[in-house]
Amino acid sequence: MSTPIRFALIGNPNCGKTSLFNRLTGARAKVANYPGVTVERRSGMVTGLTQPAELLDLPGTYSLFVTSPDEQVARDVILGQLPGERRPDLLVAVVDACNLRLGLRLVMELKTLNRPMVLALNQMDEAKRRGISIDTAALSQAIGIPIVETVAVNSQGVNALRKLLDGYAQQPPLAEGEQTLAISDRQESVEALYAEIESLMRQYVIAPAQMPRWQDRLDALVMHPLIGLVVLFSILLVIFQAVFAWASPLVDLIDAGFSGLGELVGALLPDGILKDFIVEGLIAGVGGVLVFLPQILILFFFILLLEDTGYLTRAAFLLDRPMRGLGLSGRSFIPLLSSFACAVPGIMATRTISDPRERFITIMVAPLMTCSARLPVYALIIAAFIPQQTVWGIFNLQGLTLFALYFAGVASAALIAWIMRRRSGREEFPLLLELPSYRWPMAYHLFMGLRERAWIFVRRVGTIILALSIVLWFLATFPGAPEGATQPAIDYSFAGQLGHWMQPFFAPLGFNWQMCIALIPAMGAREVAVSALATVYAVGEESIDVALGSALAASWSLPVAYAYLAWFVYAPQCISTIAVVKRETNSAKATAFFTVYLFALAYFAAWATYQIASAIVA
Amino acid sequence: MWQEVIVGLCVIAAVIFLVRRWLFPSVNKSAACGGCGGCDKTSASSCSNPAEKNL
Repeated sequence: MSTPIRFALIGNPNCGKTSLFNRLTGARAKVANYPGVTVERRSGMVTGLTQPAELLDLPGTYSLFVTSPDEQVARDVILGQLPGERRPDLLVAVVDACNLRLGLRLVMELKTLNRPMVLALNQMDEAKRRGISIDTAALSQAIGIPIVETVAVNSQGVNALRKLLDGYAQQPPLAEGEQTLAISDRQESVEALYAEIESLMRQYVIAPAQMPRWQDRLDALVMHPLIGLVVLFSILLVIFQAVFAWASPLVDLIDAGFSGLGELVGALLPDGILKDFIVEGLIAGVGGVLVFLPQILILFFFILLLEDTGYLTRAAFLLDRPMRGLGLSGRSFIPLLSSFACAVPGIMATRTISDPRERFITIMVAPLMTCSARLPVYALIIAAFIPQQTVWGIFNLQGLTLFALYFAGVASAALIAWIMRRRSGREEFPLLLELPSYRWPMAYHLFMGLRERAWIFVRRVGTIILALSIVLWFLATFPGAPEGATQPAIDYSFAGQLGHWMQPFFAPLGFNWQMCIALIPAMGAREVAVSALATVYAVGEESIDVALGSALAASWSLPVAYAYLAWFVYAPQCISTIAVVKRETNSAKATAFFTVYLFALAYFAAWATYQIASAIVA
Repeated sequence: MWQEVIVGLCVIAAVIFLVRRWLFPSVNKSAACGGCGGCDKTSASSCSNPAEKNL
């Protein structure tokens, strides 16, 4: 079988490459209205061609003279310098029609490679809306590259591009030749390039003098150093309020469903080990975690909404100055923001950071952003210990507590970054991000994003959390209590023995042995702490969420609950995070430091919280 | 007895799943996959985490 022909999408960040990739391949890779979403090359097969053809989606870059690791990936793939990678046969340069000047710089650099290339002029609808008129045919003739007008988000022009690619795929392949980058990044070379681009812009593009005034006015507000921070803070506060206020009916519904299932299974099956296994192991373990799906979806609904409107890039600029005070920059903002979903993609997204030291620090603090796996643990303990009451007339106390936990993670990350940066010299790398236009969020993007998050969560529950729940139930059930035992059966189980063995170490934190047991599987997946607690507290047929909350409220004191929450703000990261830190830093020493410092921080924070809360309560 | 057999098989399957996942990840798995737990797949083509997908 012959090797499929290979196309590569290359363009500036946030010009719509991934949308185009999804349309051409039928994939569902994440797209967002901010730069830096794609940090590695991604591949798929183009659909609808007469011959098999592979399409690469490369990280965005402004130039072939790269400054960050993700741009390096794009350049190496294009030049065929990535080990084990075949050079693409045809380049598909994607240019945002609203930012033609910026896109043409890369196109002109690519042109010097003398490689077959087509140009997809994307976001043409937005350009027309802004009154930008481009003489595409004349521009194509002038630069000697076929141009196709596209609107990737709704498939306009995608078939025309597909047809062009198909035409190329049917041609006999060109002989592989040597190539070198024929231009340099010397000042005079860059100036000549820009002079050529300006000449093209003057001849073939008519653009209104200014951006829409309402966007400028809105930017003046949301990017104001003070008002902007107030706006950002208010948005976050509303999000965390909504996580609690809106989720309750759905949480109750799912909870009632699992309770009903538990009762049904309990009534159908004869008493015995199988019934215990299904009701207390499977249903309590899985159901106890799955009930938090609505809260996770509400959180991501807001994040996706902010992404799609173009607000998040503004937030990166807004936070650039305060973050520089901490030794980071606005470039760290998006990796840190991604870490609210999961630290793994967040740490990988640090590849967009040019400064190696800043990248290292961002990796070290990224897991302090509260990932969605911690949300079930927070939600359970908050619901059990924090009364549902209104504060200052508008705020829900539970929502405020959740906000405080997220804030504690962010504040700690800021402090640690500041300390780490003080210990090393610094080099200024200016923040260069393209500011996307504001746009109305697209229901399709929101739906796809939420569907992806829901699916990721449900799959985690159906696989790793299910498996951990089964193992945990086994460890909490066997061996059974001996004849004449006076303590509950779990005291004699493997899990009970492990919990008792660990408990002295965690005693200064106020943790009992049941809490110690839950810490172990939480290293696999944080949410399993909830199912572990459901198992050790033997919550089964009743309403899982409510029953577990009641069991915790009855056996933990308030300082203990606070200490447990503090532990999870800093908790030693899950195995996957440690693995990705090892891979991204390529250093066992850095990975060991990362693991030990977070463990020490979690221990100290939980200890301090417990001691202070105990003193206050006493 | 049959109840113990079913439960035993489930426990063994769960242990094998976890051991395979953490100690012996599949050779087909993407080199970029950090095992974020976002998917249960072991082949790169089915990785659903866009930040990790790397065929």
